[in-house]
Amino acid sequence: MARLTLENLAMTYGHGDPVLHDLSLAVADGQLVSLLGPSGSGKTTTLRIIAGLLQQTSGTIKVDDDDISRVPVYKRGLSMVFQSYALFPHLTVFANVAYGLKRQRISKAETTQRVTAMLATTGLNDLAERYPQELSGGQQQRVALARALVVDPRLLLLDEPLSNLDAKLRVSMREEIRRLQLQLHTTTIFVTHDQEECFAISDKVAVLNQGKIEQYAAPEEIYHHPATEFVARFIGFENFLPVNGTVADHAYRVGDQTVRVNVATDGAAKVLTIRPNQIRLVPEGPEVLSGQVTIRTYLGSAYRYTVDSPLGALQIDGPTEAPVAVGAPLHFTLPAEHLLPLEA
Amino acid sequence: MSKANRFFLLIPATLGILVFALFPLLQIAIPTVTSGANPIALYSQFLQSHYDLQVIFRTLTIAVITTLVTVLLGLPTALWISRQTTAWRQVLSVIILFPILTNAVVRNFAWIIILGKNGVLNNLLQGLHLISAPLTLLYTDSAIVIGSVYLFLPIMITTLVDSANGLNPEIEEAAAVLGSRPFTVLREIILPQMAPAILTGAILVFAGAMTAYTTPQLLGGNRHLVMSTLIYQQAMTLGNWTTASVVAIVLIGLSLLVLGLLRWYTGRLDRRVQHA
Amino acid sequence: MLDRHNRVLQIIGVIVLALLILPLGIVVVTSFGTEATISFPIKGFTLAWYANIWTQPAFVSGFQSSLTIALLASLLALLIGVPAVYALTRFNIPKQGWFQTLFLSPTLIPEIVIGFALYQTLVISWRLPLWPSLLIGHLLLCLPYVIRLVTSSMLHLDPHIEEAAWTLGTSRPHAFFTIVLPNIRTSIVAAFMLCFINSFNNIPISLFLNGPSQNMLPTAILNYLQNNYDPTVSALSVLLMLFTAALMILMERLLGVGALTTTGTNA
Repeated sequence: MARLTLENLAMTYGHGDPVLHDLSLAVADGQLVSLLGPSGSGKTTTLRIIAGLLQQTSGTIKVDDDDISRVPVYKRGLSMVFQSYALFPHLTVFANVAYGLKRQRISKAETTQRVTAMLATTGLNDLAERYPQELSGGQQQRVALARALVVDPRLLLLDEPLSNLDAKLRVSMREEIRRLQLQLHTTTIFVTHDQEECFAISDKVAVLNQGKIEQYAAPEEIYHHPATEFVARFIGFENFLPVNGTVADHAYRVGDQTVRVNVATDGAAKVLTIRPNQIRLVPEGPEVLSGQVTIRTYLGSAYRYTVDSPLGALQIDGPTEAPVAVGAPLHFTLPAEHLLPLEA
Repeated sequence: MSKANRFFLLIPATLGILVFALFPLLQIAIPTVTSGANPIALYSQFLQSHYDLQVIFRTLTIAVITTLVTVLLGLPTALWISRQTTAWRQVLSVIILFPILTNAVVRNFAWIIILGKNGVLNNLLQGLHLISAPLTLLYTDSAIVIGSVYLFLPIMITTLVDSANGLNPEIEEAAAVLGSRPFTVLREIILPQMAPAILTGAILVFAGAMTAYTTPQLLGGNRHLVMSTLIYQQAMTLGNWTTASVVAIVLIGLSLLVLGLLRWYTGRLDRRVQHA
Repeated sequence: MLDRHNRVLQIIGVIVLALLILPLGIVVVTSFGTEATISFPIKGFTLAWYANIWTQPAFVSGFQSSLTIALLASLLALLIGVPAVYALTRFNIPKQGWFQTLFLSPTLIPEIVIGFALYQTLVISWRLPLWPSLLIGHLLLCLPYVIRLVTSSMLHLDPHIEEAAWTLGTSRPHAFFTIVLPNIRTSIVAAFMLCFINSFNNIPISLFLNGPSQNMLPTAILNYLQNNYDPTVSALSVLLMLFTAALMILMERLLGVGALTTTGTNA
């Protein structure tokens, strides 16, 4: 239960390009913060530096006011859940969970009591004497979580803990993680490349790209107001319209068209972005844009059209009740309230 | 495919083993029980001889020490090799493999040069004024152990490297995050995971060291006989065929007994780890 | 952590590697020494001991027969081993485990005992000449390697590819040669190499079955060492090491580096 502060972390392997640049992040007590990014964005590197499994090239790590930047991994008093779960194959579930307490020289009686309680919390009572190989993926995941939480860590680090589970189990496990985290009020860093997963359980999300934080905000803020084109692309914006200039207040020039927006025009805007399901399909008329459908895919809840339009190729979602054929024209408007100007 | 045809392919190998391996074995085994006063007379006679017991004891001691030393040296070496980059690992593996494929005479001969009265080691120690007169290193039990370790260490290392390569580094990291220092990780996390491979290596080395002929012959000389050199001496130098057979049967029995125990123990470990 | 930068592991690893290589290096150096008995470090440089090898008929004829026996025993082991493995892995043979144990049983008998038993049965009782007895002994040495390596590769081979060939109108023997054999090629080559090397280097079996008329190279060296301590053996050792190196390069060419390292475990 603690605050985590990362100050100007930088990491370079050998003589290669830096994988982290000047990364700073503050995590409040009891929060669950996700590091979201594609592979190679530096999110796992950051986590491993916090854990002490990697030594940063420069920068400081603080837990509350403790500078742990140079503390060896086995003295940091954190916990980590690994992508492979990393359960000790030669120990039973009980012994796996008890391992960290044994290191802390906790008495036998207290160990038994705490492990038993944690196994109950994670629903593993009946499996205490089994070996990891005898468990399903979800059960192994719970053991990994129980092993990490039973030591009352100052900080819980989760490295893509759900990526080896099937889709259904992933949803229930992430809810379980959130439930335990809230119940124990453990400050948690969660690394993932799955946008939906991290939005579902995080207090705040840091979107990483090439070793830098692109945006650090609450999930809702990131969802509605991505700060950069990279963030917008990563969380599902599909249409990016390059801005050629400002026409008037609340209007930008895109190609030879004028596009109206709801926010004050700003000389710095470089692209306008909008989600496929925010583009409105309308009957033909004045001020209505038209384009020809080149590809149609069925998404279940909607059709997604790729449309050749005066603004360039656009991704537009349309209702399943009235499909438009490939080659046919599609008429639409870009609602000003949904268009988002981005600076980079 | 008719039933007869199926077995047809098995006939040469089956006959070969039965006629050329098991029958000759029976042929040396039978006289050991028929030519004494009673079936176990020759064996009890053999096991009551102080000299022969000494040979058995020496054989077992050398095999046990050799096995222990190869584990102690092989384990850190194997861990070190398995943690190198792929390219380095291949280079090191070739360096380890080379002695395995080199003739045992050559490998033991190297130690004659090193351990001899005017050998490399004695010259070096005298040069450094650590000793004044040459030590008797060659033709001792220790020389046999050194030669056996040299002979079997590469086999132990390759066996252990295979196992160490399969370790998941995240498991060691998990232990470290929970507060284990490197040595604790080695003792509590790495060793138990490698235990089956250590036993496999121990089986290979023990069986090899216990039955090896060349090393005790070259480095032990005539006064430090082990069971295999005793068999040869009894049969070819002294012409005591039946005695040689008795030693041979005891050697087979002892090695099967020890290997059986090691295998049984490995099986228990495997059941623990491989419950998929 | 216990990674490749760990000091303790590194120190032990380097020392062990040095201990494995240095003795052989010393042998190489002594082979060039000018003194009549082996000495290290050497005082002068000569290649005379290499020339001396060829003046020892036991070495020359020993090399020839070791080579012949190793080649024949390896080939013969493949010839009777591969069909047996094929039958065991593809036909529904009852008591399959028994056959497997039987075929691997020579590994449970100490080589010195195999040599002794064969001498009694083949040479003394049956009055077989030494040469075929040696071949039989080395065949027993080789067979388990073939059984072990080829079995594991047959078990990894998808039986459906053979069935696919039959449905395309190929006969069973033809499918074996055109479909199965090319796919287990690696294990066959590896088995052959292992058999060859182990037969060529073998001492305990040859020891009982050679004689004045029938020499093998390793036992010839052993005999020579009983009475001599000159650098001829060093020189011969260097040649044998070069021979080993050549075999390793050949294996690497035929099978790749990966195969080389897995070979070690089976050796």
